[in-house]
Amino acid sequence: MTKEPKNARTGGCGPTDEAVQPINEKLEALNLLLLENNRRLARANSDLKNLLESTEIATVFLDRDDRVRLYTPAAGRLFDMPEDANGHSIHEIPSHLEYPQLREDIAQLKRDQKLITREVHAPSRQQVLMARLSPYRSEEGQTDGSVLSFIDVTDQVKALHEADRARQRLQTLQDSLAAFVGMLSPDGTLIQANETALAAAGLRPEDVIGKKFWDAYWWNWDSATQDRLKESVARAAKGETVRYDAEVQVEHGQHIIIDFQLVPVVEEDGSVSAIIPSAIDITQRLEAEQQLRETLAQHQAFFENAPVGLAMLDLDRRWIRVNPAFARLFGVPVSDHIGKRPDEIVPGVNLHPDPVGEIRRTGEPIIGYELATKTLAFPDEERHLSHNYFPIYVGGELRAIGKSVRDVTDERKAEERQALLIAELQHRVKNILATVQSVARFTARHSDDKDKMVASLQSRLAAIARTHDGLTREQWSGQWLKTLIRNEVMPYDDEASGRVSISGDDVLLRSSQAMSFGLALHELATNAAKYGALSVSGGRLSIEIETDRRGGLRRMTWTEQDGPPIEAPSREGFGSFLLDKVLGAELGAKVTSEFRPEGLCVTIDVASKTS
Amino acid sequence: MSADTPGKRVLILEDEVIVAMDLAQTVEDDGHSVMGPFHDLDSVLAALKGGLPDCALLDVNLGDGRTSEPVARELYGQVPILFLTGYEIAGSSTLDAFPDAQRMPKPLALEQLLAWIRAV
Repeated sequence: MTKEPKNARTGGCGPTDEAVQPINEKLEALNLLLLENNRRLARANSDLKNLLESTEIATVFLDRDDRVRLYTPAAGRLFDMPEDANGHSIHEIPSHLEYPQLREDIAQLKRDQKLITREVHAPSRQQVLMARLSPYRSEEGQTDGSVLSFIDVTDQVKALHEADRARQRLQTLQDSLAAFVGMLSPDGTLIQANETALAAAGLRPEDVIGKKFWDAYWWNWDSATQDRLKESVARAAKGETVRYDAEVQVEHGQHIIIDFQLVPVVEEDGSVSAIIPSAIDITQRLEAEQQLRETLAQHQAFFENAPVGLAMLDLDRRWIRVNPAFARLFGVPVSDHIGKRPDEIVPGVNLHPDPVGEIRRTGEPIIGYELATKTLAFPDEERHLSHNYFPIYVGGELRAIGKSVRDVTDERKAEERQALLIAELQHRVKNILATVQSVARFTARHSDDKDKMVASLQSRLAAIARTHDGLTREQWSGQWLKTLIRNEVMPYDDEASGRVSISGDDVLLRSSQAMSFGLALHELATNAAKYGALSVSGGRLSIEIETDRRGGLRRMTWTEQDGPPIEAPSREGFGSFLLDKVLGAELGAKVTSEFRPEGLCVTIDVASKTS
Repeated sequence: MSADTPGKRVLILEDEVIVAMDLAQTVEDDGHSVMGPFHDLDSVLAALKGGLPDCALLDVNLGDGRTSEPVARELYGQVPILFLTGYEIAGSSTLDAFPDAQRMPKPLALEQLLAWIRAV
């Protein structure tokens, strides 16, 4: 309830003058005027009262001593005004406000005569109010108390706080992004950069904000990089979204590759008000991709270059991959395989009937499935192909059937050759043992005593061994006669001394002939050394070989000269038995031994017996 | 040779001349007569035209891939055959073709060989 303060201007004037009538008239007129003024004043008072009562602004007028003079209804809701508040100190009136500084603020207002504003809370009413303290000025401009007004700003403050929180959330969001984000003015000046972008380069906002983007640390390491950015910003400023992979500088001078994007902020009128740069670090992704490409290339090269045939069948039994070695083996180009079944590609080729079905049934690989077949690559020749089929699981699931195939023809042939060779060797060993057995028994039959027999047997076995060595050196293809002669004669002398001469063309003897010939020559040489031309220093031995037109042996003569006198033995020795019977039979030759006074002469005549 | 056993006529086919000669000598020393010894197929087949032996000692492998099979075919079922075998692939099918023939590995156990001749 507004109480009218006493109006100083309207009261207390009017000295009395009874002198004249006109004065009364004047007074009358004055009274009328006064009445009119009073009426106006009452009207003004009423207006003021209505104004005060209608305003939602809580206002309290205080006198110089902080006593309440007048207040609005809204103020009555903030303060618990007593029945007759007039004259009560504002500081004694309880209020809903949390405003402990009120007394100080009023004191300061009186001192400074300057408006004071303060945000105060009314917790019980859940209100935030803007307190405005201003001096009350009288008509004359004198300070005559204070005016406190409280404007309810709860909604505005709430909205402000909301906006602030939203801004903070946005900032947090920006800063916690893994991506680099910022904002540019259309001329390329950096207005904002998120924490991620700053931290990556070890920058503080003041290092870069307000600078041209391209002059900032990230970009200023290379002028071409800067130029590209400058040009891209210019395009974005015209409304275009620009995106490319760029190399930028980060902390410690390291470089990373970013997927970089400039997006214009286009206003309703089509103008660009800002540009949003954003980027993500794709260095590791690029490296991983590079590594993956390299690994793939290696696997591909491994597959392409493998010297064994490699291929893959899908579960529909169609080729999905085939390597060049595989294609070569079957004589069909790689590309002709893909999408086709094995039996469609080379009809008639001998293959496993259904490796896919078998592996799906058993889950087991098929190893070393070997077949002999002709292929387009080898149409005239059976090849031995060894096939392996194996399940290819991806993530525990059967995806395809792998195949490797190798041409093992050469290995099989080598194995066969080796088996034959071993059998042949066994055969020869048995034959040699049989020969040794026979030679031993012959030696026993022809020896007078045990010591002589042992000595003869030893030297004969040595001769067999020498011949055997020679045959092995020639891989049992045969033996050269001159080599046999030298083997047996040279221990007693050599051609260089001139005592022994070997003339004529050399002859290649068959293996079986060589064995008998070697033994016979051994007997002749031993005999010559014991009793004949090689037993004395002046003795000579000449061996002549005659060959037929095909290079075979026609005749060999063994002629000893200037040795001690000899005579025919009383009984046939092993030597003459070998010569006459064995060699004769072996060569199909007539063997003649002449015991001449000057020395032994043996003729082995192949020609005469066959003719 | 034992006095109560008459000597046999023994055919010998063996391509190794020394071995053949020794075998012939051994067989003769035991009181038998030797047909041969032969070292090749032609000569033995020619000789068989003149009559059959009492028994035959046949070396299976005659060298250069030849075997004594043609001779065995002539004699099989009429004359007991003793094949003299080394370790031979070339001769194995030959042996299979004459299941009733005996065989003896080289080097030969001569006592057993002579016992076989006496027994046939």
